[in-house]
Amino acid sequence: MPTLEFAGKTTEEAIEKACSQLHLAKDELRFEIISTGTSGIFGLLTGKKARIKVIIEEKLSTPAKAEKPEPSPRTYKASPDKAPAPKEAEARRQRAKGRKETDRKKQAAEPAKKSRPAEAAAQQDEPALHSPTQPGPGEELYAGPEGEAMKQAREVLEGILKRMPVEADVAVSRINDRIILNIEGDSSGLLIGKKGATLDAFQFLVNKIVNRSRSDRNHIIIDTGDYRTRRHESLMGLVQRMADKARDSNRPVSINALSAHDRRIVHLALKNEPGLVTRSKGEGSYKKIVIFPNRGSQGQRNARKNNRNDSHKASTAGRDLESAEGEGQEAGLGDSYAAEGVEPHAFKE
Amino acid sequence: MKDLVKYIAQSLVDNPDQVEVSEIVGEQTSVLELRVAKEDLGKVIGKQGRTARAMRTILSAASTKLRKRSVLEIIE
Repeated sequence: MPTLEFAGKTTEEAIEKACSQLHLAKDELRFEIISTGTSGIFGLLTGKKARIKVIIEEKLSTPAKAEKPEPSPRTYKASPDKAPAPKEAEARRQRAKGRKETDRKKQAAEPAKKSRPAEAAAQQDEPALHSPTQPGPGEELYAGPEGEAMKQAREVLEGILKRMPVEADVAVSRINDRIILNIEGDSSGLLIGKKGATLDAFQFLVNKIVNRSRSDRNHIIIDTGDYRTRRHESLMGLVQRMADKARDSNRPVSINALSAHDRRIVHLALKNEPGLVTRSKGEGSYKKIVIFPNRGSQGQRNARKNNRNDSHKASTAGRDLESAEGEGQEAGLGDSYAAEGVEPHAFKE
Repeated sequence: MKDLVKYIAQSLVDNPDQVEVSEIVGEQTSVLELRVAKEDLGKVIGKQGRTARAMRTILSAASTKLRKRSVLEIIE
């Protein structure tokens, strides 16, 4: 989605500017606050401008993109009377930020976020950056008759489900070299399990069984109720938030242990992100991803040290917002069940 | 439950006729003992116990449905 940036003395001013330029009513505007403005200390220092990023909604965009949940938890509609809670929290945060600001001054200008549209374009070219159950760019759904491998995969999965016993149908489809088995008719979440563990177990076993007896390798994906797509989207949301966090705080941010497949998505998603580097840390199932902001100079490092002390206070003061963001330094995706609602924290009325 | 483990194990090994599963039923928890041919042991355990773990995950999902607990033991 294309975005535009607006700046003003306060967030309100920036919003108004955006409204008049885009000819939109205040509550039609979707935006994220990049930074809230400050008036400066005792009027001696020039205040920092409030900046917002406006998301331009495309009515005619592709359905997959349009359904994508808003990546930032800080997105809310612009009518102040409708959303008093976030405003309050914002004001509190602003006060807290005031203290921090003096330190921030020494720091070089915040890393620019203008790279966003370019990065979005880069993402589309990346094959791993769409849900595995959806055809990506240059791929198409295989429409021919059910092949031998498809039949075998379906029968193995049906055999397991029948003995669980779960009453469900299995629909099989194929995109390029991926065989997709969709379990239909069970909505209990039992087949998904915590963070998709059960679904991954099915997938692992079916892959193993099918590829054992065949000379060609088939990549089988097992899905139910669009779980893979939703998971992919919430993962992308998490990545975006954590990337913003790393950039804003100029400190490394770690993402909780993820499966190899999920980790790969995170690495690829941030591969083309300027100013950020991703590394895996730890071993086995405890392997984490750490997003490092690319920093170099000593001055920045000192600023960071000061920030660390202050940001603690700030986070206590702005607790409402912090907890609303729902992601601490060690953010995870939570249970699959919790992740179902994707973005429960967006302040939308 | 026994059937489920047997089916998965038989699909994984080279000697399906040597797969044996016995169930020790407890009040809440039942223990499933899986025996396979010696050369197939690695196949049901898998690299780093991944296959065994996947079987246990599916087994616990299946027992949740029956409001029970099941433990899978692979007997050497």
